[in-house]
Amino acid sequence: MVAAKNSTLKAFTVAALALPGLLPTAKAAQKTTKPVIDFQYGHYQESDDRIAVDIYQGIIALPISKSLAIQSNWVVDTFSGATPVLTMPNSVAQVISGASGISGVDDSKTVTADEQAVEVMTGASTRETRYGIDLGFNYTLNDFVFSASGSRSEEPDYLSHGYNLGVEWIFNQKFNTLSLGFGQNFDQISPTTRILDEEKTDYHLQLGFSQVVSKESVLKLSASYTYNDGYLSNPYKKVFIQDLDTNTNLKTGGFSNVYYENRPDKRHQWSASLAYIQYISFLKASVQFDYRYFKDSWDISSHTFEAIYRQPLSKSWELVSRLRYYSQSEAKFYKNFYIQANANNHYSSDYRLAGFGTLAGGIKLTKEWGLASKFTKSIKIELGVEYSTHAADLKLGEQTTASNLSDFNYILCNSSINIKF
Amino acid sequence: MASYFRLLFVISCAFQAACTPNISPWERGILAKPQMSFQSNALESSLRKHMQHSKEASTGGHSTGGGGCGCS
Repeated sequence: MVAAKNSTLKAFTVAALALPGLLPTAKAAQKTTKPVIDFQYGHYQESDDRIAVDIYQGIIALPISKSLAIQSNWVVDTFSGATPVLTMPNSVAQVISGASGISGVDDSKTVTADEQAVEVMTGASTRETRYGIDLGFNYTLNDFVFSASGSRSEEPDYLSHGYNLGVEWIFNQKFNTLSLGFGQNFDQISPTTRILDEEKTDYHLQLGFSQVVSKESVLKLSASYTYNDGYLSNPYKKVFIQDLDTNTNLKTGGFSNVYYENRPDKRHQWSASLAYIQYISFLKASVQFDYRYFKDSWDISSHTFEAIYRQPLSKSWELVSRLRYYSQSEAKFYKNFYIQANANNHYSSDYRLAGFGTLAGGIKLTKEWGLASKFTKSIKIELGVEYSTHAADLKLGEQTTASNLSDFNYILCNSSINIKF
Repeated sequence: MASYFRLLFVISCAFQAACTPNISPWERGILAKPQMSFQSNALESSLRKHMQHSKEASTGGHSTGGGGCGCS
């Protein structure tokens, strides 16, 4: 069987090479021939004093020879603010007036499934910083670009190491590219507020194909598969479960009927994406349409639609506007709270696993100076802002668990500089 | 085996015919414009993806990524 497969593949390769135009004739495009430095500051802010994040990022790309370039990315995130830790029935939550948490749970009442739920927030959390770096190279050989990189990301409660390998083939007179990527992440989770030491491994597989459709349009198709294995719960999130057997292996969460959440320890995720760019001659502008379908083994499926309009305002100024809509269905074990135990022992009330939709709009202004100085080829500065609204009512189709508890808005700003030498 | 080869050859020809637009090298100017690129700023794109990833349950798309738990 293996031999048969190999000979079929060989036959395909031979057939492809026999055609004119498929033999490598030109060098691969988009090579880094001069050093490039990028720096960016981003600020993310949620409404109602929820999370705020400051993000500093940079890229240095350095050509070593005509075919070899190395690249390093770094990131420092600092976040602070309150975050939801639990949703529970309103009727049993004992809240101290003015406090963001709960002071107790009234376990004398029996809760019913259709009760109003309330979201319990952490107090304003301490600041936490994440440091991430990756280092990689890409090597061009005729029409192939090979790449490899390794990464490390560190937070007080999370350590992640990973690698990515990729190959891109530019063929058919550069009308097509085919790319394949594989990566793994090895994560260690040790929350600051619990005695817990857990591990998780991620496997990513990515396939891409791009096509020049006409002299004014291009198309890209991508597919990806991710497999997560290990501790996939959020170690800080809790759930309310009524009448849970005392023999359960769930960890108690400090109050009666409150436990730390427990998600399955395996997850398969699939996605398929399509992107299309069309040039609009009379405006000298372009419009891009993106669509992504996502599905996973927890029964979450999502649709993402995005439109991007790029309008040059002069030789050096450009205005980019974008509109994005996202809708996801809830995980099969998700509930705002549980009035009885689940047979599979999986519980989560994390709003990210709920059914909801997000609508976002943003603009970005770019200014480029060509031949800016004796040492630099060009300098580009970019300022952008994006506003998003996250709401249960924005979900496509019917809502299974009524949950507008986690409706919030957020804004993401960025300013970046790109220097080409 | 020969029939396999013939079939694959036909598929390859059909693929190439379908995927080769009638564009001369001097007509590729528009395709080389920055507006025709799928990713105009890698840093901005990674920032937006990171934030979306930490608020939404979906991954995947036109590039891969990893690192960080997005716990909050």
